[in-house]
Amino acid sequence: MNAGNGVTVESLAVAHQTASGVVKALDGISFHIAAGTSAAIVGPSGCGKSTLLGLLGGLDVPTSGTVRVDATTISSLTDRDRAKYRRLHLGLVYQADNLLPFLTVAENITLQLALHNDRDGHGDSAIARTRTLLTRLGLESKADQLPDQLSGGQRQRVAVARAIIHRPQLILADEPTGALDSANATLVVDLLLQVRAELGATLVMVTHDPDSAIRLDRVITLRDGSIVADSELSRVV
Amino acid sequence: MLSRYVWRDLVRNPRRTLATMVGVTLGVGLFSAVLFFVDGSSASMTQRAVAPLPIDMQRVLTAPLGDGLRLTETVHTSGPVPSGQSIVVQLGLSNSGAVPANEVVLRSGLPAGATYIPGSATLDGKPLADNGTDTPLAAGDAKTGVNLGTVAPGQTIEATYDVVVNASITSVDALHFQSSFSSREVVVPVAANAPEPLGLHDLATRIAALDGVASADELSFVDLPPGSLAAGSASKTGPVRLFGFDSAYRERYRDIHLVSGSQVPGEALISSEAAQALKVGVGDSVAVRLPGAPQPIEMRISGIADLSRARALFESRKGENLEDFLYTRDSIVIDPQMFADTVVSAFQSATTTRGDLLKSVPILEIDVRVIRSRLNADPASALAQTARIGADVTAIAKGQDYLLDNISNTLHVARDDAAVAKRMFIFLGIPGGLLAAMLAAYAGSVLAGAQRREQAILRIRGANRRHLLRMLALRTLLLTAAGSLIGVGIGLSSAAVVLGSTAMGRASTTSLIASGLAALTIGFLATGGALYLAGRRSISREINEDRARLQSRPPLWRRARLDLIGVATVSVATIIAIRSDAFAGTAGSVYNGRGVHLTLGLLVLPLGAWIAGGLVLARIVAFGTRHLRDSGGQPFSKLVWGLFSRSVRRRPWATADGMFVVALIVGLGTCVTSFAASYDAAKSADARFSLGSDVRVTPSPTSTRNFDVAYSDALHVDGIAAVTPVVFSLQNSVLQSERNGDAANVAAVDPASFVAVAPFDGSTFVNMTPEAALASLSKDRTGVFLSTKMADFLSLQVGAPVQVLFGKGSDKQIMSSMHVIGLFERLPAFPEGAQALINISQQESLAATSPNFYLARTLDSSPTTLRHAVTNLRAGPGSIDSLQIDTRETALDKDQSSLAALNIHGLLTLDSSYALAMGVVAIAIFVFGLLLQRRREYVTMRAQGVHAREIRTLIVAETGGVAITGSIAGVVVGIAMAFFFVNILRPLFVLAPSFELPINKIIIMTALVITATAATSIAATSLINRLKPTDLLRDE
Repeated sequence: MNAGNGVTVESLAVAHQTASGVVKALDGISFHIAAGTSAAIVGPSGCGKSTLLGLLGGLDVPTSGTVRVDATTISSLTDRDRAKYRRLHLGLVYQADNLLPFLTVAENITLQLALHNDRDGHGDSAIARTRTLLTRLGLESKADQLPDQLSGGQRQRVAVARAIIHRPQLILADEPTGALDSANATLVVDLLLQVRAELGATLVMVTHDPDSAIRLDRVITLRDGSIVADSELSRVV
Repeated sequence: MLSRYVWRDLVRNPRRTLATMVGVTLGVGLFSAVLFFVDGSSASMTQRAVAPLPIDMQRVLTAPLGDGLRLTETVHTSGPVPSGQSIVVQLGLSNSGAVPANEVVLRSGLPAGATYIPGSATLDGKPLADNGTDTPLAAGDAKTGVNLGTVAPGQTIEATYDVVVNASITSVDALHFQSSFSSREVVVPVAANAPEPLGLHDLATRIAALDGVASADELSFVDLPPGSLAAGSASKTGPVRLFGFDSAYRERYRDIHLVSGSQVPGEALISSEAAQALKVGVGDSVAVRLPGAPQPIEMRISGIADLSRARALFESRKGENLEDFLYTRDSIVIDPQMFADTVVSAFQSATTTRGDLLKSVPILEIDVRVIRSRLNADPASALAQTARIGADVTAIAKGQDYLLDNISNTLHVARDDAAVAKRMFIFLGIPGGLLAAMLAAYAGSVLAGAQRREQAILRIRGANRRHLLRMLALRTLLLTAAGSLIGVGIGLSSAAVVLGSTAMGRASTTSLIASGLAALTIGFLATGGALYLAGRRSISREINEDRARLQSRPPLWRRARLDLIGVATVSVATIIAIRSDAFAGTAGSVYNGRGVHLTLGLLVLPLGAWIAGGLVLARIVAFGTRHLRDSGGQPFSKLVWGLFSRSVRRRPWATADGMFVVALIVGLGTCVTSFAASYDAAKSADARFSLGSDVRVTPSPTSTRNFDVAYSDALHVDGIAAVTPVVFSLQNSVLQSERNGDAANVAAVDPASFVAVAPFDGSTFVNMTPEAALASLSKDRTGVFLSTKMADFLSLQVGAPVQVLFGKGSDKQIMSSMHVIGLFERLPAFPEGAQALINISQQESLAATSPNFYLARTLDSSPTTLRHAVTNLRAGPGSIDSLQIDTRETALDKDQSSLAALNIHGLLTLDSSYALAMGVVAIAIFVFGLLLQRRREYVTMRAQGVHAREIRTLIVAETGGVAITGSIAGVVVGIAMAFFFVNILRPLFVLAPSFELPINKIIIMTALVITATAATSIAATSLINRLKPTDLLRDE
């Protein structure tokens, strides 16, 4: 495992000023997830899991500390560069599918590819790639439908497809199975792991579901903004 | 519990509360401002109506030469009268005067409780034949009396008749017999037992003491035949008017100008024209020949007066041409006492000897001026005051004389006009109310969407639908009540700002309270209903947003195609209205005692065109955006366009709904702007038409200069493009055909310059253009154009011969044979009415008459040029000769309705300001509502890597598209609305108003709307960066 590649978090802290004082969402945590591996972030509600994921995705900026993905220190990028980082290297999946309601299934996926390719050179091959992916997900007949015509499971599969169509280096998933039944949940986790393996990408998944968590290479447990357990460290220890 | 929750919800979400309330406040504000504005403007209608009145009231003596006839009525019974008892009514008519009373008619009407006993009437003891079963003293429906013929001096005539009392009465006083007499000399019936008539001086003293009366002055005058005025061997052959009034009267009525000398009791003032003709001045003497006087009466001249504009003296008192200015050039003024002693005595003597051969008798009257500052109120309040004063004036020596209550008659018309104005402007205020409802509904639906989550949480916690509805009702009640109250306050303040607090202070409190309550009620119901329904629809919807979207039905108007039905209905109604001439209405005129009549039902048409037109255009936009194509390349080859085109294509009604609201506001703004421009143009055109051009120059009669046709050149100063001379005065000629003839107002013009100066409308001449008509007048000097009415009266057609008497009443009068070369409907420059138009060279060659005035056209229509030209006229020819200069800005059109006095600009300023404010609010609600509804989409895009700049462009494109399509649609709808308004309000003007479209102003307004949209959109997008993407993306 190359310690320089993958996700490196160093002394990461996020604090919010509230009426009752300063609340620390993350309290100077550090860890490294090797490239091409998967990690589950677990912990009780409000422990900072989603905050951490937002920082890894460059959606938020930390109060202090750094987030580095491969050679890029994303926590110090400008807003514009973070957007570029997301469109090139990141795939995001949330509990809510967050599909754009005015785009068809195929367009929702193609949009991500177009953003990745900076709208050049995607042409027919992009469409074909989208179709192929949809066929693989069993959604080829839904390509031209709008999201609100799909079931919850189908929409979440489309959301996964949108997150992986541009072959990202890092896939972030925030409780992707939270709104699904167990069958669909298994299907989605299978899909994420399968794709990670195929792409050699790094997968970081926030989850409450222990069954899903143990299927990943590593489990990091957070509580009150601090890491209280890390399965890899345990193994090392 | 629920109320506490609602209250906290409103207080803790101040931005949401304010956003919902602002629409209500602005809408109610506009509606109430319009109502308050009309209340405040009513006083200006009063001022406009009474301004041209020369005399407020005239108490005219019925028997100016004194009258000896008296009638007594006696009913012979006393105490209670049982039913069925007969009583005797005795009438005694005696002539105690020195002259016979001619054609005396005696009447005695029966009261309701008595029945005439047939055959009981006697006259001087002899039976008087019944007229059927009626008493001969009040026969038939007209209650015609008995004509007694001539009653000689000293003669007494007695009449009696019996009646039966129908029901028991306590006293005979309960029966009111209506006995009266009239005669050729006393045409107004005089009641029995009337008090002794008062003399002119006593009457004036008692009237002047009445509350509300500013002055009561004696005025006497009599018209004398040509040749009645002479100085030495020089004598005038023209008609003469001899006045009796004192210096107090002259000072009261300021259009009587003393040119030289002074007014001295026992001596005379003479008109400038008469002084010039007789070649006399102050200190000289003139002799006046009076009927009944054996010798002309010598009078020393103490002063020379310009009476040429003295409307109080020369406006006709005769019904058929009431208030026409019938000027008599040769006039002389003496004091009232001298008039009574010499003139009245002479006529009394003449009456005795010549009887009905006397053509003209003196008119003796008291001219009353009311305290006009007390009339500083709406016409109805002012009318109540003048009517009371009129009643007080009539009550003095009741039963004699008659009162011409000019001011009450005028205010009666103005009151009717004010009522029309109120209804008319309520219609103009309705758009404000509707916009308020629309904004409230729009804000309600946007914010209801935002409350979806809260409602879901409440339901989870056990709240059922009924609870939510009760909370909604409570919230709506609080918001609309507060919004409406604030709106009424703002409406009152804004009306006061535009009109001035003084004008608002003149409005009656009752009227203001009624307006406030009306605005409050309508605003409360309209906006409350709109807010409640929007919220109710949201509560009824599925909690899940996506499923809700799938399940939602289009609104009723789309399903039932109410927009298309509305436009079709408006179109059909318009065609019917045009064919039935419903837009013509009836023009009002304060002078003619006629209120304006507008077909107010037609005002539904612009409102229909506004709403239905806006909805149809929204449907068209929705249809167009649904078929919007991609850029032609691959999907998202142009990222923002790819997102934009798909967003609007697949959510066409989101764009169309926003567009509709913007269209309504821009439509109202366009309508107001176009209507204001058309109104101004129409008022200006009316003024030019009435005046005859931009400037009218009238030489003073005091000037010794000979004002001829060539004087036009002297008036051709810088700023003046063309000048034309005009000969015209009332009844200056006689027109005679084989069948008929009458005095007529004949205008003589120079055809070549008149056509270049006067503003003609297309319908001036019948079947001829003005150019062709005046060209034919130029070629044919014996040709005459007749008004269609005069042609009918004379039974003449084009080509027929007509005799024209030029210089009527002067020593130069001459009959000329001419022929009709065309007809006209109405000529510019002669609001008094011209019945014939001839070539001025013909007039000059026959009667050598000088032009009465000159018309001048300025180089352009700008007010600056007009002022420049007037300044040059005053500094140039005006500094040498005494000239009266009127302009289109100072002309007061006698045919205009008092509605034209309304400060329409103020109203339109109100409308425009509110429309602009509502436009900004609507756009802000739309933009922030869009952001609220779509914030998750924007955050998702950010998470996917779409740059903030691209998201901003997308938002601006969507809102900009709404603003641009809404503005275009609004301009289209607004033009249609304004077109309807202009045509419906056509009767307010003399000429048919043209439709004006101020492109620049509309472009500025549209640019403001679009700029506001862009600014709001940019402000809104900055909020996206403040959203917490992690939280939003996690939300289910």
